[in-house]
Amino acid sequence: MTTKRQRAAYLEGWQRVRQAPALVLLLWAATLVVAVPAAWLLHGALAAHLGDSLMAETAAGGVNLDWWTEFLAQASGLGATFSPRIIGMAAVLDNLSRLTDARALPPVLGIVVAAWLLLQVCVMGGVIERVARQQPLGRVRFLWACARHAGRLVRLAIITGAGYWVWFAQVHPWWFGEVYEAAVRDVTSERVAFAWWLGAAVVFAVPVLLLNVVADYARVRAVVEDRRSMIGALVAGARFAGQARGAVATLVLLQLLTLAAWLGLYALVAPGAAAGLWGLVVSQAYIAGRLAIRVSGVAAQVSLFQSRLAHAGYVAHPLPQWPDSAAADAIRPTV
Amino acid sequence: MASYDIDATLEPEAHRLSGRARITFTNPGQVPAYSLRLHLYWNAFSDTGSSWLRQSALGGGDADALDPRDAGWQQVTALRIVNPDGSAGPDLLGGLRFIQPDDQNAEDRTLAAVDLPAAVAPGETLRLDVEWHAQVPRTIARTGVRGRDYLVAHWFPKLGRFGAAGWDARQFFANTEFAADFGRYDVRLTVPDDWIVGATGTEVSRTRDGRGATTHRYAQDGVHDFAWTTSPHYVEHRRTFTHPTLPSVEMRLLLQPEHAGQDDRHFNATAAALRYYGEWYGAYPYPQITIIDPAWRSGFDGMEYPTIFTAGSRWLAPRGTSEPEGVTVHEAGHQFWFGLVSSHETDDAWMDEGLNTFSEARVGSLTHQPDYRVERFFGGFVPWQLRDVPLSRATDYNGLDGYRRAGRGDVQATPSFRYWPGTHVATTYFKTALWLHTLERHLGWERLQPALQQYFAQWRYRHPRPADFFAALDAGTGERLEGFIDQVYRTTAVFDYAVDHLTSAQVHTQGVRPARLSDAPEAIERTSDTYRTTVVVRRLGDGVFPVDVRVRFEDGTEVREAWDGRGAWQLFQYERPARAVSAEVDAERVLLLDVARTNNSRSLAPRSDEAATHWARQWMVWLQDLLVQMAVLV
Repeated sequence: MTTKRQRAAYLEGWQRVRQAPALVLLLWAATLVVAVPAAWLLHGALAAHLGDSLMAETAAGGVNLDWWTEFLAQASGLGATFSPRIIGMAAVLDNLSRLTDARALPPVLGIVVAAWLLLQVCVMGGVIERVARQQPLGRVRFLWACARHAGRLVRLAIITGAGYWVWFAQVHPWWFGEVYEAAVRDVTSERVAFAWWLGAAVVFAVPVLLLNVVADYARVRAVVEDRRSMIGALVAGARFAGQARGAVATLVLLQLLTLAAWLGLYALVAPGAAAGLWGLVVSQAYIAGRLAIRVSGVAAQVSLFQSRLAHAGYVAHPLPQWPDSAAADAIRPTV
Repeated sequence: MASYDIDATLEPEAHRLSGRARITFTNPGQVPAYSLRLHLYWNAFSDTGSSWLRQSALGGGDADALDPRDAGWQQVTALRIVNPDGSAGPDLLGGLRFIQPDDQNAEDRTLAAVDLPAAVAPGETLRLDVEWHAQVPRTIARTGVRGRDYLVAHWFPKLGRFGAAGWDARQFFANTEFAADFGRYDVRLTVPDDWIVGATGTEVSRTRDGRGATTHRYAQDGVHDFAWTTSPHYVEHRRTFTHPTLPSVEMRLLLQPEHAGQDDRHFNATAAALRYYGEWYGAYPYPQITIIDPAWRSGFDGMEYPTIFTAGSRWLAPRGTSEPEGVTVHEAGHQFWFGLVSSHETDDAWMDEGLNTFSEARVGSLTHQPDYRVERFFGGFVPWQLRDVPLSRATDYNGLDGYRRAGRGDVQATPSFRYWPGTHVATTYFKTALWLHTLERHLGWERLQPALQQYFAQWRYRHPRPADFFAALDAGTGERLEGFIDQVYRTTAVFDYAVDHLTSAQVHTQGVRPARLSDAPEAIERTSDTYRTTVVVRRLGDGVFPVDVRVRFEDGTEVREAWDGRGAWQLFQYERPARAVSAEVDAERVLLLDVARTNNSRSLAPRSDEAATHWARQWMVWLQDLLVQMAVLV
């Protein structure tokens, strides 16, 4: 019964994404809004360093490691992140690894990411509202929904962000720096050490995942139930995740498997250093796919939550109905 | 000459080692020896006051955090002269004292001295009996123990090197390694039964005592150090190196079980070193070479001792990369530059490390190709091979990037143990490899190789100093290289040539000019069919090197100019029927020490915007992926 419901929620999540492809497009466009200016800054730095050099001949069509290392030796800010790790699938591994290894972002990039997260928080209210109602909101109502929930979700993000900060900035160095190191102190096999590392990573990831899930359902409940207290929403989210733990866990697993499959597929087709516009298309399709997985995850969570309510599709607050304007009255034919 | 007859017993559970040795010292110098110098290297790891740990801290190491469980030390418990008739002579132990001639750090206990009751005249021989016990440190500086894997190196009380003018012994520093006289080593090592042992030399005998211990006897003539390893884990492989003109060598590999399947890669790399170094410089004269594949994080990786060395690999080591090949060739190569030509590693580390990096890079470019860059993720365990990023000898193997970042770190002529710890690698390894490779490109391998071969033949089993090497280069190449050597060895000069200016336009004449001498000037304006090309090349660095300048034109022709590179700038102008396309200084890339290659050329149709767009786009995808990933947190 439970499995059936989770599978239904998972599929329902995708169904709701299919009904609202504009959400994925919107989020994809949002990544561009943040990434393009940063890339433009980097473009300037790269072009300035290359100048009129013949080194650009090879760099224009592939890797010129000689120039690359020379650029990096003098680069700072965003330029310092321009390493060969950005190529193809290595970029994905680099970012995933940054999370597991808790590598701090360079300050400039931290600002870019912070701006993005703020944008995300502001948009997420509209996204949840759209997938919860299962009907088009229109531009104005979508923006209204975003605005309505933005303040609350920012407060929620601050609370959960504090939790993540404690975990990644305080616990991670201790866990991997002291506990893991003590465990492998006399290990002489890399294979065994890797097993230890994986175990440590899983143990470390469980609270992150729990916090993430609770925060997800807190967001869902905050929007669907029109909650104002974010602490209350967190408690409610935790309560829901606890009561429906089997369903919630299975859904998380299905989402992780979907993500892994998508990453695996991208690993097969990820464009290399010489890729031109076609490579860009493939990469953007990959980004859009990840966003679709993300939105489907949110939609599946909404669906799961709504399936436990008295009637599916319930959203607490009504959509705003604006009166026709006075100008419309003026031109209405007199009866 | 210093020969050692040693008995040593390892207590593996307690990490203790005890031994006794008879040292036979023959004064090789031109002055009497009134005293002795004994290296007690492991005392560098006894406490954080040692010069080794202090220097390591300067280089970024954590010298304030030596766990007492990890400490190592050596204590001499007996030191006595042996009379010519074999009876016990004067006891020297009471006079043994620690000295610190290099940094006056009173807390350093890595070098000891003792006065002799009678001087040892040049050519005379002195025999000593010494007993000691030691605590094996947790692996540090490529010695010690991790788990049950031991690499026991610089482990016995060892005489300093006696030079022409007396003792030439230094304290132990983090930047540098060892220096000792050649001699014969006959060593009996007692370890638990069934533990695998690898050591300098060849195994002469193996005796079980019936109480769980086995004594392995190893002996070797003509070496200047003795190191050994033992572990119950090693998997032993053997293969023979054969060559039409070089002597056969038995290669013995002690492989980690988890590296099963990498035996070929280790053997092939070792054979490549034996082959190419043998063909270029001279034959490896010993019958055996032992390759140790160190355990994970053992800290043994990449270290050389006579006839034995440690390589270094990973559990996941993709083919098409130079791990373990690079380090294996390098350490096998040290058998030549260190093992046989025994330069002073403490004072002139560049002579073996740099020359060997140059040679290793040359071998690497001939053998393990293609070699792609590898990035490691997830705790450094998971490799990802970047097949778009092949590595090259000229830049990557020679360490150009490291040199670029630390080119002015130290004058190479400074005694190596005094180099700034944070940049000593660049000065020792990379700079030397780059200047030797520059010489190779400048003179041609056909001139440099005989010079190195001659140097090797002349200094095999001896201890050359820098002047000996430079003299050999001059003699072997027939070129006076003093000017270049002065810059790379005696200064921190950095080389950087650039094309500062490039224009090319139709010749346009405008102004006033008399038609004839007696005429009044009249206005003229004419445009010719020819193009005037102007190239200005600049020397931005303080290093001077002759460079060529190549200018290419639209009609496919090109002009090559030679510039001695001395001035601050040099102008070249041409009037030709075609417009210039590009100009490049050091177009053949002879000067590998040039720290900024990008400014070496200019194009009149630059593609920098295209290149920047290409890479900014790739980077943008990386950033988008990062953003999407971070989004799950909110």
